[in-house]
Amino acid sequence: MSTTEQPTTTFGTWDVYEDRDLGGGKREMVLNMGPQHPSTHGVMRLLLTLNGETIIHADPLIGYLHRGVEKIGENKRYTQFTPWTDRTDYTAAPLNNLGYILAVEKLCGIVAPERAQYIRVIMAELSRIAAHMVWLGTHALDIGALSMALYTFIEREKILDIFEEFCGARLTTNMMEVGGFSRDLKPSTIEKIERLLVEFPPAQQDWEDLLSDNPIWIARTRGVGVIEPEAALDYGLTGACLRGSGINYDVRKAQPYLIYDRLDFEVPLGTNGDVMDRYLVRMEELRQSLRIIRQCLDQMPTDGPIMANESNYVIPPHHTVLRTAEDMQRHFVWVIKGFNPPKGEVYVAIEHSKGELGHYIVSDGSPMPYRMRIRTPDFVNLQVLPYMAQGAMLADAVALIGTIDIVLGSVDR
Amino acid sequence: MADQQDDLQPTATPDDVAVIDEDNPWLTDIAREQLVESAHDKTGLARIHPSLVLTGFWGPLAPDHPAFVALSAAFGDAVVDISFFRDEVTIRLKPHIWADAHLLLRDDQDLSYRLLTDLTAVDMLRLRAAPRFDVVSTLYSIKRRWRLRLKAGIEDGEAIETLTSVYAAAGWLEREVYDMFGITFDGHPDLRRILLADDWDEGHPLRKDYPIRGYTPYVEPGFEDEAVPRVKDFRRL
Amino acid sequence: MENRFEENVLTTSVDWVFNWARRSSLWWLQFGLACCAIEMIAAMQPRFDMGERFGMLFRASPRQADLMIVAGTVTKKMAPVVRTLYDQMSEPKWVISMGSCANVGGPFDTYAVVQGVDQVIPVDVYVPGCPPVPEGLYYGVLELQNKVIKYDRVLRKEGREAAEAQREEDRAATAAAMDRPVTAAAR
Repeated sequence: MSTTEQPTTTFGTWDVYEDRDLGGGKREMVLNMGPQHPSTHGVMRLLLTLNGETIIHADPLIGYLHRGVEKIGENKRYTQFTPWTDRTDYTAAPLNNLGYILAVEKLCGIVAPERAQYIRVIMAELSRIAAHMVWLGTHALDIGALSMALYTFIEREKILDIFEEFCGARLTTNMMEVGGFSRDLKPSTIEKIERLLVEFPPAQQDWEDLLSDNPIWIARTRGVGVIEPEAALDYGLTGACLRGSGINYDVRKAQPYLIYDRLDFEVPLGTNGDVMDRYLVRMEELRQSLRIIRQCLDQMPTDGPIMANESNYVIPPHHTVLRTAEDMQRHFVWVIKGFNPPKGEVYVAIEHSKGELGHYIVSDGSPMPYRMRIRTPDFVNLQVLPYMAQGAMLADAVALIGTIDIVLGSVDR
Repeated sequence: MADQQDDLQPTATPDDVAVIDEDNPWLTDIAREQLVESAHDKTGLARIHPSLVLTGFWGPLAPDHPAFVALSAAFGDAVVDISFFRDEVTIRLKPHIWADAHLLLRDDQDLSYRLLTDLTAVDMLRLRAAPRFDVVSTLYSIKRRWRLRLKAGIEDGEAIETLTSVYAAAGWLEREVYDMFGITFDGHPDLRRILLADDWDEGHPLRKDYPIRGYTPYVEPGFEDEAVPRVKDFRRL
Repeated sequence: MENRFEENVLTTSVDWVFNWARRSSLWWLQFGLACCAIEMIAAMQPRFDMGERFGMLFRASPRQADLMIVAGTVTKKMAPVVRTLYDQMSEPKWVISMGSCANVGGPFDTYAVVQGVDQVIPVDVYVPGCPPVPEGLYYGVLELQNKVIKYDRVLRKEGREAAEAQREEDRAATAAAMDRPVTAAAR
């Protein structure tokens, strides 16, 4: 039996653990790391073909969380679709919102005012930090450092408090709107962010003291899951998986959006392309995110509009809706019918915590998108798992899943 | 479902969008429209923020775009046209040069579109008469910091070449297109369903004639004869 | 007997002790599917500390669990897995359906999503929210503890069949309050 034969039905191979005798002392075992498993970060199924403890082939089977978000996108108005973008990558919901809203704004040809852009960058970077908290906690938990999950989630709770104060929800924020924001950043929220900027670096230092020089951590991550730069490009990797192999591609620097071209930050690059390098890249990204937030708070204009003036595409401000007849009618039409963007198609990419998140929207002029394609980074990044897993040990499988940093809502949509 | 979108029709029906040129049925309606619109309506462009038009993140917005020039030189007529929207560049090809065109763009020393960022399809059922699908790929060049979109129109049932020989990233992306649209990719090493169950026999969901709620509700295996009908739902969508 | 050794010994009825033990050490099956899983994890973290405070512990294997918190969307591809895991749990077992997706399919009324996990397995407590705040999950767990007490009381007095019948009545009452039909699989 060749090693590339894979079972054809999912349910049929449920509890089958296959043991193949290839003769000449060689044996192969197909092990099912099933959809319910504490280390697969959600419902992913991994069919591992093992020779002893060595993995010969790893076949990720996904789709256990496929909910048809793209089909929903074709049946909802542009104004209504933002909550579903929250639920694709639920660890970093504001970043998903941002990607979608930037695509709609480009389609309509409008730009949010400056203060709104600064607030968007602050929320995006906070969301990136929050997503990395989940990544670090679960990744370290899987490898064995059980207390890391407890430490990182404390900091994540602080960020979720900031989100809750700003938009009302902790996790699925539905934060960004076409044209800017309806509600401004309160002074108490800014105070919370300032306090986070003070409290976060010592906490991060604690984690690095626990992990970075730890011989067990080094033994489990150094040299494991190496991706060569050529292979990384070939597999279409983006984000820390690509930068860990040394290739400098960060959408915030390469094709700046919002006000990233005014901010001063660095893009960390790895050298070896192993799990340790990707870990170091993401830890450094945390520091750079804090740096960005610090600059935003310093540079942000203290007053000014936070919602664009384009009357066609933007929700009218609350105080005029309740006081003038025109804006009440406009509000009604905007909510019930939506707006008609121009016909065309756009692809807008942002730097999500996991890589490049792209939204490809095809518009036929109606209030609903004709095609809403969400190019999620984990879906494309997860393809590299069989490549990394060849020749690795069984115990490395969890480290490899963690290092790609997948969230199944984003993989399956 | 069609009846639920009656009062949300697009502002123009496919019939009066553009006259389809008999000689060149592959020309995009959107490209034609842009030419017509931009000739008459200047205010639309005026509303666009200057930074969006002049970003240059996709290359020059003119037919002397290096990718278009290189592709036309290599493949001639099979490169149908180039169109622009905001600052984006879309090149439409004929499907028989799909893989070769990508190989050319990837290996070109100057352009070097090394990264395949997206490969998807659009069901053009409501926008044009034929062909039915548009396979769309988005490329990115790290060297030039340019993106590019390539499109090819294929009929229902027609297959198109795979890009797995050019970019390994196309492996799962093409599997997803097959799963959602039913488009077969010739030469793909492992074309099977990825997001839906392997034994899903109810069709390809992202086609325009597939209802959003699907055809059958879930019934627990073993309880088929006692199945309870789906809870009645008064929402429109 | 009760008041004899008042200051030194805590005397109580056997019932109460069993009830308390059973409800205070519910081990739950870690079954996070989607976004609600992150809130479930957050409920276990130091800020909300659902685990150690209630004596609860998450187990990866269904054989060692007596509570299953279905947190997230159940898709048609995943539904057989849910049923298999439920069948592998040993009696007595309870199910909390956490979040809108597990309750009624949530915002995903599409071809691929089962409209509520109660189409697949019987559910005792429904926790609303999208995702429910960890305090919401707490409330669900406390309600479940009340159900455990009731089950135990009936079990001690009248035996297993009566207890199971009472649970089914409870579930039917909950489903009726939500205007949902009780499917065959949920019995």
